[in-house]
Amino acid sequence: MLVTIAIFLVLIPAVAILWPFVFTSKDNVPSDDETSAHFEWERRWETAVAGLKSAELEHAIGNLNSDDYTALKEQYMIEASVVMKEMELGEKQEEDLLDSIRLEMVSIRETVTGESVDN
Amino acid sequence: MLVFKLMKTPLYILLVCGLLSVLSAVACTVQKIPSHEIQAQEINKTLMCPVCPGESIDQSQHPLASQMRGVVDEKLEEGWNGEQVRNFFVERYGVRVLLEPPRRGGNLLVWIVPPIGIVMGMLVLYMVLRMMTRPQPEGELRASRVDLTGPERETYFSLVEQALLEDVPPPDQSSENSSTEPEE
Amino acid sequence: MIVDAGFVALPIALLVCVYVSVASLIGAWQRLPSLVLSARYGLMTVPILLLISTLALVSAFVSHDFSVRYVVENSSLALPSIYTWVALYAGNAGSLLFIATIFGLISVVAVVGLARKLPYTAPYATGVMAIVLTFFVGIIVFLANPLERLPVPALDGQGINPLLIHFGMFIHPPVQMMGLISVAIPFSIAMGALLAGRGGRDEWVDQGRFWGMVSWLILTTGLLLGSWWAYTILGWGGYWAWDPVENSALMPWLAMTAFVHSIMVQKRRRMFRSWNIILVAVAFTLAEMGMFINRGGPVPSVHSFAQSTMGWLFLGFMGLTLVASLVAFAWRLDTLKSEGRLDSILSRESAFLTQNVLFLAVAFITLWGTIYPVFSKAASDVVVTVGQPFFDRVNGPILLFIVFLMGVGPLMPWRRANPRIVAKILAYPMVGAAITVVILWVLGVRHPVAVLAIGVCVISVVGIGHEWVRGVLSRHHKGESYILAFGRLLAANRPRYGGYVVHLGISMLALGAIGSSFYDVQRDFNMGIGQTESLGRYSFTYTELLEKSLPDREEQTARFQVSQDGRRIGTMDAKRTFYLDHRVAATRAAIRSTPIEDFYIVPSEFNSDGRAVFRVYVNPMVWWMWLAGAFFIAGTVFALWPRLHTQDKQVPKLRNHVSSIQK
Repeated sequence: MLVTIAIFLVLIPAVAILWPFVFTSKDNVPSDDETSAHFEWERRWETAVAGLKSAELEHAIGNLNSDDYTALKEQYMIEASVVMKEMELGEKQEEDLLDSIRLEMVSIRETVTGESVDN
Repeated sequence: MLVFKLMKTPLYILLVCGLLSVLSAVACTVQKIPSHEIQAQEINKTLMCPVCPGESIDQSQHPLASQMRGVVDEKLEEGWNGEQVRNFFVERYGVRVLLEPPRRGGNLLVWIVPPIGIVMGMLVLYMVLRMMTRPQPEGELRASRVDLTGPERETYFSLVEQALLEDVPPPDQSSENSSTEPEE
Repeated sequence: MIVDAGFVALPIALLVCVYVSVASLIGAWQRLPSLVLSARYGLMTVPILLLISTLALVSAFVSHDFSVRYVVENSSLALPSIYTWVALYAGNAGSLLFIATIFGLISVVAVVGLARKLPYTAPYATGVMAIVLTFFVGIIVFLANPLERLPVPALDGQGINPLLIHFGMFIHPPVQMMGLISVAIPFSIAMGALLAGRGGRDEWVDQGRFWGMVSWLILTTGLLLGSWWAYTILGWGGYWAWDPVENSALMPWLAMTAFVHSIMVQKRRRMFRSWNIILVAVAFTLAEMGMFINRGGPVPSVHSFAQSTMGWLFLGFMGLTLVASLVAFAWRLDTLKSEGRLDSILSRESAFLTQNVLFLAVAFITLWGTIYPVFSKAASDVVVTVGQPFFDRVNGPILLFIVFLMGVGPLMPWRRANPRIVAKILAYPMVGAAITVVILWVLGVRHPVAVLAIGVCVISVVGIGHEWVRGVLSRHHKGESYILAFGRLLAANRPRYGGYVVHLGISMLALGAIGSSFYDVQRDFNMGIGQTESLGRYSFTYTELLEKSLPDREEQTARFQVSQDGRRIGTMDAKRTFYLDHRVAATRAAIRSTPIEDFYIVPSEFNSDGRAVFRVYVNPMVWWMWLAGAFFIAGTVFALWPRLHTQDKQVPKLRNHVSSIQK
């Protein structure tokens, strides 16, 4: 009886542990890395926006004087804008890369089918 | 100056402070008990019950503790002061009967280290803050960053402001973007 | 049979924990997603196994299975079933199982979240959590197995420590233990990020902050519950005695309070990266110490700590985690450069750093005072006691300064504060404090330290309140109604205002502590039945003595009719129970609590001639300390409440904006 219980109890973790090896699925691909440029942009955007918000609040409350507020607002707006621009450039780079890959594939296909037609 | 500030202080602040202080005053002005009893209690709170570690003879309900309390009362009636009463117990039970180490000899260490630690901590804090506010070479920070030209500034600023006001949906993955991308 | 199942589940759980530790770290390092996933699934089965063991233990208690040693040591035939819950963690082995089970559950929850939000760091963090879990389960399996059987079953158990049979004991120890072990979660996240080489980036900060605050809240609740229990059940009119057990629970709380503040600076300004990692490692080391001193069973004094095998093992593990953290820190030092600069010495950031230093100073002093007797004994063979008077005297002023800083801090804007503006705004709380001091003096409250301390509390409360009012007004001037402005202000700035709510709670706590420390009044009365005495505004008549004899204990209840300022306010019962087997007496004080003061009667001794000695207290403002608890919970939950509709979390959809540029 005890042996049966022991076996049953061992089975629970055993099944769980072996599952990913037996049932390999798409999930087993290294997932979206949190350090990708995309996440970095999102974080920088969030920080800039949070900074803007708190500067605005502190100025409205009266803790932050107008000079400091203007200076800080400028800094944060520049940061947010830079993030947008970088995203744009980054996406543009991706686009260009994809375009060039597409072009290559088309030319490869042509060469292959060209060859096969020839043959 | 203070009076001027007083006149400018918002009414609600004055009310809250008034309320708080009256509340505290009412709470804290309890009928006093005889001063010799207060003195006895204060001494009791500085003596440890030797058989119930960590508890003062004031706290402890052990028979030895109440015995010791009786001794304290006796001695006080005879005119002893707090110091003498404490020494009396130290002679009998050793220095551990005191709930705080005497500020003499080797035990001075336990009293000195905290203030020194605090002062050092404050010094280190100040130095660290100074170091962190030192101006850094601007070039290092800017080098890796993208720059905005004059006209770009205006455009992007308005875009940013727009994005802040709008209800912007979460960003989708780049694969989806390229599928909706208009051909240039 | 279920006991056997529970017994067997433990070494299986241990093996799984070892596997998870190794597999998670190797899988992360070698980029083997299947291995990582396998480890994650494995971790999820550990709480299942531990719960089976826990269930087995519960069943053994309920069925009075005295073949299990732990059941014999912590229960008896006379023990009502409801106390099974307390018995579970009353002893050493049971409390370790409790900690392991709770930690297993919490870490699974944490890992599920981490897998989604920090996929690269998650396996490293999982590995660290699994190592901690391995330690605890290992100790259980090899040294302290609660399901271990006796060679010969006993006929009856030894019963439970009578002091534990109080409502407070149903929640204080479990919450306290949960709080201490929960520090391992932010620690694991930070360590995971460090090991993954991501310590210098701030991705881990959101999760680190979340779990740090959750852990802080549980720790705070545990400490408050413990104080409340001591106050109501230990019968000496106080709630905190700075004894080693309390101190060891306080120190991690101090470090975590520092951490939840400085992590905000890292989130906003990408600074303090190295500092936060060290801080959370220190917090976890202190939490380990807290757990080892706060286990169930005979509470080891600081002296006996290292005198048992288990004590050495705990010390060893503590040292191991601390050293390993520092090694990992040194190894990854090159990844840990802070990005943001400090703009000005006068700023919210520097206020947070100052707060950190002050809290750690209190922690250091507490540690120093707790450990000093061990040093003194070792060095000069003289035993000294470092007790309440020392800690009150040394920590008191620092804590008071912290309360003051709490009132000044909210006034500081991020990045740079203008000294003139700060001084101008600070004037109002100062004026408020001045008025308070004057009123107190006039009304008879003249103890200089108490008056100063209350003044500081006022500065803090007014500072926060004034800041709040200005916030509401600023929105109101833009056209919102007061109510809408209030609601929107809070909703839009949850961490800030949640924090202010917690700070208000701390001010209440301070106020209660000040009132009851400086102006408490106590007196002993020797009374016979029918006698009336008075203390403060109260007069009380000892009307009857109810005696009840039970098989395991004798109860004596003294009944009083109480009047305040001449007006009858009711009946109060003070009980003293003597447990025959344990030869221990427990008292239940009669307490009448109002916001102004507590009236408190505790029986000291019942004499054979029918007279009894009672200690009667009037403790001002203790009520505020317990109310503070509600503020802590509300403030923390509010600060952590996720934004469902996060406007500023969205990176703008560039398609629209790019096309609008091109037009």
